[in-house]
Amino acid sequence: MKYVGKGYSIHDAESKVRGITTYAGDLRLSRMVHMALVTSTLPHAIVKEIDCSAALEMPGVVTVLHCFNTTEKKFSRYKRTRDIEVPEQERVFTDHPMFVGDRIAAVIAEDPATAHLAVNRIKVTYEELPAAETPIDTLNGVIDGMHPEGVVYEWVFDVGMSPAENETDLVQETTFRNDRVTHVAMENHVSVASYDEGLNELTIWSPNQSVYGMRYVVANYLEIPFNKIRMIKSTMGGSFGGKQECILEPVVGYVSWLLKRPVSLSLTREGSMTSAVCRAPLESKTRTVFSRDGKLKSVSMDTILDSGAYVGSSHGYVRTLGEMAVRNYSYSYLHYRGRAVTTNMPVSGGFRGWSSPECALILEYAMDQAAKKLDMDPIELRLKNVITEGDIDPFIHATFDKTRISECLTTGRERFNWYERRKRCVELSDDRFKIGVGMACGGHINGNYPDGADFSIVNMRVDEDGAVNVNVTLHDHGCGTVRVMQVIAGEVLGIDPEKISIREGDTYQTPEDVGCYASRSTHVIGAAVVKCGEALISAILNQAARCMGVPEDSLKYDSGEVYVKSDPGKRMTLKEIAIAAHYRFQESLDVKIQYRSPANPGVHGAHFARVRVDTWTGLVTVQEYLAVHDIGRAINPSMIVGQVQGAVQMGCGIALTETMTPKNPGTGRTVNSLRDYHVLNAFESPKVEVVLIEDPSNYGPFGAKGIGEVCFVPVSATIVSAVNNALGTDFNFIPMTPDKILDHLKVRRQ
Amino acid sequence: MKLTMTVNGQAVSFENILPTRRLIDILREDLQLKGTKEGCGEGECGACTVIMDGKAVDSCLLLACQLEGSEIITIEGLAKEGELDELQEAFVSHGAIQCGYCMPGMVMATKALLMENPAPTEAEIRNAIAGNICRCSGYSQIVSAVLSVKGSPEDVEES
Ligand code: FES
Ligand code: FES
Repeated sequence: MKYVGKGYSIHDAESKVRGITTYAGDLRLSRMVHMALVTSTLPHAIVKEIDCSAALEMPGVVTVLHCFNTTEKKFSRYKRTRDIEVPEQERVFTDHPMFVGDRIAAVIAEDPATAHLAVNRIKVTYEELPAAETPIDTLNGVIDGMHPEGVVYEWVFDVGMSPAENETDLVQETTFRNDRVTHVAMENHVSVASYDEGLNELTIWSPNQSVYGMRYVVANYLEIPFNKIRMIKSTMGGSFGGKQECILEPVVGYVSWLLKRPVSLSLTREGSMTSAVCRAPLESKTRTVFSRDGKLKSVSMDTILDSGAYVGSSHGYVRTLGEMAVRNYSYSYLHYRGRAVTTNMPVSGGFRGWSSPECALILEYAMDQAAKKLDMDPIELRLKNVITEGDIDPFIHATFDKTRISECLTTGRERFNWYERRKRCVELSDDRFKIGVGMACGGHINGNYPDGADFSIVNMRVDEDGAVNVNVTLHDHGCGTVRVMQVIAGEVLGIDPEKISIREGDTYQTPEDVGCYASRSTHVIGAAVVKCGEALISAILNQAARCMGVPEDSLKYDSGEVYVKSDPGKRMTLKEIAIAAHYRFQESLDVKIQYRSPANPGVHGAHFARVRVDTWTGLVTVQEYLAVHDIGRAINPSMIVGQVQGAVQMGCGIALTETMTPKNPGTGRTVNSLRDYHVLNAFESPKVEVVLIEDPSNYGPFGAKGIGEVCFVPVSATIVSAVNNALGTDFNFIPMTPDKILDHLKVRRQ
Repeated sequence: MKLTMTVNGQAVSFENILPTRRLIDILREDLQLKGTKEGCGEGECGACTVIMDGKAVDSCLLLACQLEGSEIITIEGLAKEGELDELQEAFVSHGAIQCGYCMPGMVMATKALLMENPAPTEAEIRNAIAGNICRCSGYSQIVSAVLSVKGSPEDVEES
């Protein structure tokens, strides 16, 4: 391989480090106004009155829009394709706020600072309504009737045949709970819109994961034809799934349409945490049955997920959690019941891994418990149960292809010196500091196959100077997928990747595509780029043959040049061929292909950690961390390592410190600031060793599979395993904050 | 109030500025230096870090009334005659940059460290950026980038 497998920076690293990259919040257009939101301070209420007079008096304030002077029409942030069935529950500004942070009004001002200052001058009078802070409240009927279509969404399904249980089997019931967490992309949620009333055209810029998905929501909401909406993906300052739903785009689109002026809306950190989207708290009760020799026979899971005030993607998320339960272990029977329960809390939605990390927490906890009861080594127990090549995903009836989870486990076991490290924990511990070693593993998907519109279109063109353009609807989340496509196209064409230009999502310029989620960018779009590169080579050869007056099969393409096989001195460069195409044949050297994903291989990781728990303070330090991943083929190892290390920081934080759970129960007010929401900093984050197992899959580009989500899947579960090993506890929740650890130790001492 | 200060080596003055106007707004809105980013507005994330009189500061916490006569360097002021600063180069070549939103702050925080302490240990680097959140990278490549710039041997201390 000439280019694949070398280390590259992200494509726009230099612009970013110069501070010249334009993120959506940096965009300024003439006549632009700025919005700042007024949000509900109560978890459930009716707005009786809004007094904007003091705000309107402020110089620079253009107007105040609110629930009484704007549309009552509703949208769903998650209905980004026709086949997603989800009720429309959300208004741009609501008179019936259903959580603290729900949008009630907005100040529109000539500059952002004025807009924010004026928000404090708006007085809202509410009539308070009973609120559900947890799914239990909802199931007890506290908010029956809040949404006409109901407040509970339930899935029940069985796959496989329930095997006979016998007396010697280990039958265990476990519970796992996790708190509400937030993405903390460093760039807050932001959108800019500009409506041209003459053309009836609306342009929206936002860091999003699907320009066509956003367009679907906005077009239907504003009743503007699809082809009159130009949705542009701006440089993304991190998403982690938080920017995949259509939250601000309909708001700015509507306001720009209403005011006939460009509008910019950047949420504050508090806004991103409470008004946008977060990861759902959930609780799962799980029954697992193992034979005495450690073979997992069946799993039965009952999950309750708190969807927050609007169901959004939660109904799909809780279903997917059940489907993810078969992506890592092979067993004969799964019974799943999942409920997404509406509450009066911030809206839950997509988060990196889309339920797979939560599923890993549940199943890996059950595995560790079973290993103890069966008196088996936890890795041994997993090796008896993980899926192998040839296994079939019972939900999608497709193979996992060349899955390498066993190798991840055995490689990691050796590299981490597992037995030795585990044994030494006791001698390294003292009265105060307890050392523990733990591990977990997990699997994920590669694209949507066989569901949804999982196709990609790629168009390549050679310019007159020989430069190659790849027109594709990509959405780089900031982890380097543009660079990945450059490398893939460079490898196929034998051209320096830096010289290839790759487009990102823009519905006026780039082809239809469902978007960049579900770890489909590299696997699906990358494969489409390979296919298009091959088609471009054929077109180049065809064009060159006409120019040189020789049969096509007498020519060979190599690294941007074509030569006659029998006479290599006779050659043409891409530049010459493109010019000939334009001026001799009146054509463009331009090809376009469609690619439909044919598979959904398994992709896996096994993680190992050593932690130190300070029993005086409850603080946990992650001392060592190893992540082993089955990647198929590493297109750009440098970015893969960075992504894995970032995922470990995120997963450790979520396991140990991150929680939005209200400090004062009953108020509906979650943690809403980074002062109280603790993300691991550089001093607390572990050093992470990353090992990649490369065995090319049969499908992805050069056999590559996704990494961005799967690398996050086992992290929190690994930390739970290690902390429980250190303390001899059975903590079945996250985050394991110092308070909770100390409380537990206190109880144990009594 | 009136305000005079230096930004990236150039004198700037305001005839009539609100004493409570934040430095980040002066930079981003009044001077159009959009490289400096706002991640929290309350001194918790470090995305807005700039160098003021040789020290890394959160520009979201400083107000116009605290700035008279100060010398500010922002991310836009690091490259000299178009050439990246050595530290900026190191961030690029070490793969330390992903989404990039934390980067202006991260680069300025570590630049301030290097200005004060040209050969920091790994622990000193991690300490210096303890107030700068990066949600993408896990910090390792950032730390390696900074270590590569300084002259002294690597510190092997555990973090
Ligand atoms: S924006 Fe200043 S510290 Fe976060
Ligand atoms: S690179 Fe994204 S937050 Fe640091």
